[in-house]
Amino acid sequence: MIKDTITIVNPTGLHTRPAKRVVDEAKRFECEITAVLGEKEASLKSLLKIMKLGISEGHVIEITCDGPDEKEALEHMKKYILSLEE
Amino acid sequence: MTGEPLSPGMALGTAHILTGYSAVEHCTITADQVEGELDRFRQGRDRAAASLEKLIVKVRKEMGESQAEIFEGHLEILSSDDVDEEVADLITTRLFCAEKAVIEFAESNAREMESLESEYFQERGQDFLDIGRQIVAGIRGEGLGGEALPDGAVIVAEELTPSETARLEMDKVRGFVIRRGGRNSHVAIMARSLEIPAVILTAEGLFGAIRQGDSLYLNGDTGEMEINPGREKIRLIRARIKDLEARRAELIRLKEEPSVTTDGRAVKLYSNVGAAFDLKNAVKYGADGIGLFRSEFLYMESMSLPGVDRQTEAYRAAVEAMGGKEVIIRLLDTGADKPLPYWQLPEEENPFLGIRGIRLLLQKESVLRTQIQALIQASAAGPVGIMIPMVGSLGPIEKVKAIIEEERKALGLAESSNLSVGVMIETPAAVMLIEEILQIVDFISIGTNDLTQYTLAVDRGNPSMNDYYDEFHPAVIRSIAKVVRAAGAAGKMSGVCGEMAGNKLALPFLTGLGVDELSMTPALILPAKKVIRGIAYGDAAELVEQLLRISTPQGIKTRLSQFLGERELLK
Repeated sequence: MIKDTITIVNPTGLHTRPAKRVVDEAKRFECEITAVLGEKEASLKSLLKIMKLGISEGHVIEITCDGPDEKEALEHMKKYILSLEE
Repeated sequence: MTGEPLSPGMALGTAHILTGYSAVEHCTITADQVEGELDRFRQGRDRAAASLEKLIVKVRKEMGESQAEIFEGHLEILSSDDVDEEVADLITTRLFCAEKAVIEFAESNAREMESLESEYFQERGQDFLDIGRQIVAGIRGEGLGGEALPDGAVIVAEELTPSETARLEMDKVRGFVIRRGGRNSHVAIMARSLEIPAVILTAEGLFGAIRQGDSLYLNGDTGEMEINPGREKIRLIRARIKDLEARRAELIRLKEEPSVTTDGRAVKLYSNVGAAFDLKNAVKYGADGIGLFRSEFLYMESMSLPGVDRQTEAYRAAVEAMGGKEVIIRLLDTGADKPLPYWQLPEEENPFLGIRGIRLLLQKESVLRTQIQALIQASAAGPVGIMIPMVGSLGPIEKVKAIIEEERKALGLAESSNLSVGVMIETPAAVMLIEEILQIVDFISIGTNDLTQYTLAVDRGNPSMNDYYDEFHPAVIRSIAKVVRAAGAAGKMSGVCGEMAGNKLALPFLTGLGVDELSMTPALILPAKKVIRGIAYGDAAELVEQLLRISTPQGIKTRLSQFLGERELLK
């Protein structure tokens, strides 16, 4: 299991459209991928759960990957979330 | 009986109480019914999904892409595994019937969203409730196609969710009476756009007294409503509606006539566009162009910052709808006083004097660049004016022009005669610098609301300042005169796009100054045309000289009324 923290830079945060894209990306990996914000956590593969975290611009979230492709997954998801523009 | 007006106009029609959604009773099942309930839930959900798909097509056609996106979001969530899992879990472990499980799911998710910090996320809780109701309707097999309405229906409903509103056959709807929902509820916005009167009736007794098929009179200007009015009253109402329609018809005849003074000077009448439907009305009332496209609405309607494709599409739709007439689009004008729900801005003690308009965009250049890219691309379809809001010095204008140039090159496009750059004149600083500004822009447009507030140092949102806020204040009148005359001398196009442009009383003044273009709410275009066609430019120009010597707002207004009165243009 590996993890890392990132700061959300896109103005919308992880809401509907950007969140859906993140979920689509996360689903490509086999490992479990979760995001932690404060005391709440949610699977990055679930749009509904991610939305309920209310991740907004400026929030620092921790991403955890656990599974066979965890290394690639963490690297990719970090890069992907940081590249969101909306 | 009186409620609160939500959308103006008068209607006499047949009450149609929307059965729509009725509350789900608490119901439980036994363990051997679980499979059956799971099936009912999934079939209901699939019916709701199929119906949402149709709704998305309808909404996209009738109200545009940004509105359709709301329902695309609903569909995405409704058909996700999460909904399936959570509802199935409620059925299996808590032995709820399908309907109850869905509502429990929707309400608990809505509550969770409502506990979030950001107001925007909080409001999204309503989406969950709407989704839940759609699934319940699917399970019950009701209402999904939209109810059949009688002709001339006055829709009566507790409240209308966005999806319920969007499903209505609008061509049969003559009015709305609702019990809950504010001026900015979905139904209120839509009623105003379609020019259908609407009233909100909060008192329980009043609302409950309406029966299906009752004859209902409502007045969306006063909030008045009457159930089964007497024969005498109906006659009176019909006469009033007829009178209103006759006046409308008279104005509609003006649509094809040019907006020129009796001595042949043209004053182009443009439309303000603050939502997708305004565009339809701009065309309907024969606008000569769009003078203020408030791009904020694109940002407010969507759930996140609109990307370049979405924006290009929206701007191009406006350009195409106007068929080669000029479309002036204002860059995103937002600030701490009107924040975007998904874009948290630091609180400011004095937002009107803070980071707003172009100041904000220059802080967040990526947002500005995305918008500029979209505007450049849309200009391939016809003339586009890019208008910069909240300008007080030359620096930001130069900066925006440089970015436009860079983005144009990056897109590999040649310089285009279809693209012009202008500024909103809304600060005293811009008035004082008008000559220099005119040297570097293609056009200017005066935003009279902000210009009044900044010139008079009067907060226009503060009701106790009402006596001080007056756009006919001589300081404002003289500022406008200075700007329009400077533009005329520089050979640049001048316009007015604040509320004053649509104010009948101001028309002789603005016409006499020689303003090129007045931009207003679409519904005011034809009344304005009637006035302009009734006055001579020569007379108005003389009037301006007199007005500029009057030192009180009251004096200026009295002189203007007198001028219009003499020409029988006051009514």
